[in-house]
Order: sequence, then C-alpha cells, then structure tokens
Amino acid sequence: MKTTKIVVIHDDILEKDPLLVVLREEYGADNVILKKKSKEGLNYVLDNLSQKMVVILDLNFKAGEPSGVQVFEGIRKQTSLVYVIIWTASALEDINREDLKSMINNDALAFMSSTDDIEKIVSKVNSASHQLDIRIDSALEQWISLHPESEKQSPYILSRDGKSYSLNEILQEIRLKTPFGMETEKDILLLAIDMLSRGKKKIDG
Amino acid sequence: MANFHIAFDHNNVTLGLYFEKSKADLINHINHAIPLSVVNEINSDRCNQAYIDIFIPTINLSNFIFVAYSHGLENKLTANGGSYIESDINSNLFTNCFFYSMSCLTGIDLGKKLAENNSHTFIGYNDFAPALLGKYMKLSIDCDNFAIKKFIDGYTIVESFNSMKTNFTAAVDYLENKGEPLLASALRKSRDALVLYGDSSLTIAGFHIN
Repeated sequence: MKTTKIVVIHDDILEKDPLLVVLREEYGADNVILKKKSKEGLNYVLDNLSQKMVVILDLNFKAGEPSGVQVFEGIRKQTSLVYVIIWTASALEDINREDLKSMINNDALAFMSSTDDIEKIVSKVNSASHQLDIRIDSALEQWISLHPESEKQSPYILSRDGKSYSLNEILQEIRLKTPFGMETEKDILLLAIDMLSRGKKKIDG
Repeated sequence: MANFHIAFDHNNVTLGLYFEKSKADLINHINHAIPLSVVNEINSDRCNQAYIDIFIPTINLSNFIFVAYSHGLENKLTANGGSYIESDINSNLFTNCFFYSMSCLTGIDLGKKLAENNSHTFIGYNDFAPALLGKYMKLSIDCDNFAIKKFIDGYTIVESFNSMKTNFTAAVDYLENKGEPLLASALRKSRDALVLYGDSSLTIAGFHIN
C-alpha cells in the first residue's frame, strides 16, 4: 500500500464518488481524505506537512469559504513540497488571468477538468506520488522517522555561525526551501556523488 | 619547542564547549609531542581587537603558530559580538605566522589577506563548516585538528593538509556506515571547503625556538 496522503478539497463531490473509491483502493481508505470546506482542507494540509501529500483542489467554493486559489497560495506560503492538482469544472479561459499566473508560477502540478476520465486523474496522482517517493526530502523523512521522537527534537548539528538544528527542524527547512534546507539537499546529493565516485556505493540494478 | 597562540571563544553560547574541547585536544597533543613549547591560551576575554593589536606585534618577528577556534565570516574572526582579526584592519600583523583557522568562511577572504600580508601559510574553511555534537563531537574535533597535529608531528604543511582531507573522507565513510547520512554530508562539505594558501613546504622545524 502506498503511504502518500491524497487530500481532495472539493465541495461538490460525495464520499462515494468514483474517483475517491478508486484512490482508496490504491492508497488505502485512511490515506484518502475528502474536505468539502476549503478552510478545513487548507488547515488539514498545513497540520500534516510532515507527510507526503498530493492535493486535488477545486477552484470554486461557496461564499464565505476561501477560494481554491487562496487555498493554493496558503499552501505555498508554507511549503513547496506538496503537489497540487487543480480539478475544476471551469474552462481554462474562464479562470482569472492573475489567478492562473499565480498557480503556474507557484508550481501547480496539473490542471484537470471535471470531465476528465478518472483514469487520467489517478494516473496524474500516481505520477505525483512517485515523484514524492524519489525526492530527497521524502527519503530524509523516512530516515528521520526511524529515530525516537526525543532524538528528532534534540540539537543534531551546529553550524559554526551558531545555529543549531534538530532533525525535525532540518526536515522543515528542506520543506520550506530555506537557504539552509536547499544547502542540505545539495550536500546530500554531493555526498552521494562523492561516495559513488569513490566506489563506496553502487546503484542497484 | 615552538610558539603557539590559541584563540578559543569558550564563552560562546552555542559552541563554547566545542571550542574549548578543541583547544584542550590540541594542547594535549602539543604537550605530548613537543614538551616545553610556549602555549598562549587566548580565551574569550582576550579575543578582542585591542589584545590582538597590542600583543601580536610583540611576537611577530619570529615564526609562530596561531590557531583560532571561534565563529568567523568571510573577512573576520569574531567573538563577544565583534571581530578580533579582520582582513583590512589587523591581518597585516600576522607576519611569520602559520595561521590555522577552524572557523566558517574565513578561507574566502581573511586567509587570502593573511597570505598576501606575509603570513607564511593559512589553512581554513571557505564555506560553512558544521560542528558535530553529542557522541560524534570527538570525531568532529579530531577532523578539525588533524592537520595541525600532523604538522606538529613533523610533516610538511601540504602533507598535513592532504592527510587531513584523507582523514575527513574516512570519517565520512565511518558515519555513512553508522547510518548517519546527514552528518556524513556535513563532514564531506567541510572536507571540500578546506583551503591552503601560502608556503606549503614548511615543517615544525622552522618554528622551533630556543
């Protein structure tokens, strides 16, 4: 069973929707969450940033609820490592130009139409899940999760400019793409290259 | 006998203990390898520009070894919220010096200025060099002090420098085998940030005093 969480934020589908049924078969019932209120959906995503997550997001919600674009921007303020698939009944040409620019510039993974086949949407979700699996932050997350909670919260490494980081903080820095997070990702890649070039590690297959 | 001056910011909130242990490790080696050497410990209270500006001119007519365990930036060594050695302010005082800096970044500018200003040699880091804590602190200190200890043992500076890099690589592999990829990547980064400027052929024999 795959461990990616699929969060569907959409006010116009039911728990029995065929898309959710198919996704639950692939990802497990506990890993597919429907949030019909966009505010609740956003909160759920932000409260679970330590998990691999793909969000399927509608654009239009009832009055008083944040719009899909606002939810999208709310997610991006916190992390660039959640994949967001826009799933909307709106035609592309009907979407506000500034909203469209914001979504493209902030790496929305795909735009899907509500008339698209379920297979097509699931395929896009699977592709996003696979990309999450092979990202450094995901590999790190799995490695960090093997440590006891007390160890995850303790100072782990100290930069000689005086900043200390716990394992949880390192993961968070990577997820937020801070300079330290990006540097850490780069260092891990360079370590892998260093070890491969010295014959200390071999790529399977 | 040789003339050692070791600056260490023991009062530093985050790394004071690390700096103090690094200094103690080096002094232990000096006392064992070349007893009767002069070892001047410059703790946080004296890591300031006034002390450096007054004291260094009294010793720089002869060869000496200066070791720094403190925070650093591209062009300066820092302690107590200010710089105590800085490229365009007092780096020119370090003539006849083998300067060994275990601070972040000082290899970018300060090290070059020291070499240009007639220091014999500079060894340091030209990037952020993380310090390992807890059970791997000793490993981290061993890596930092490796070249200066080899130099004290009689190797040339370039031999000492190269063996320091080799030792870092061994420590990287050790940590990776222990299942510590993040710490291994930190030491890999430090290894590749090491720089040497100036005369690399010197040995401790050239620093002996009567």
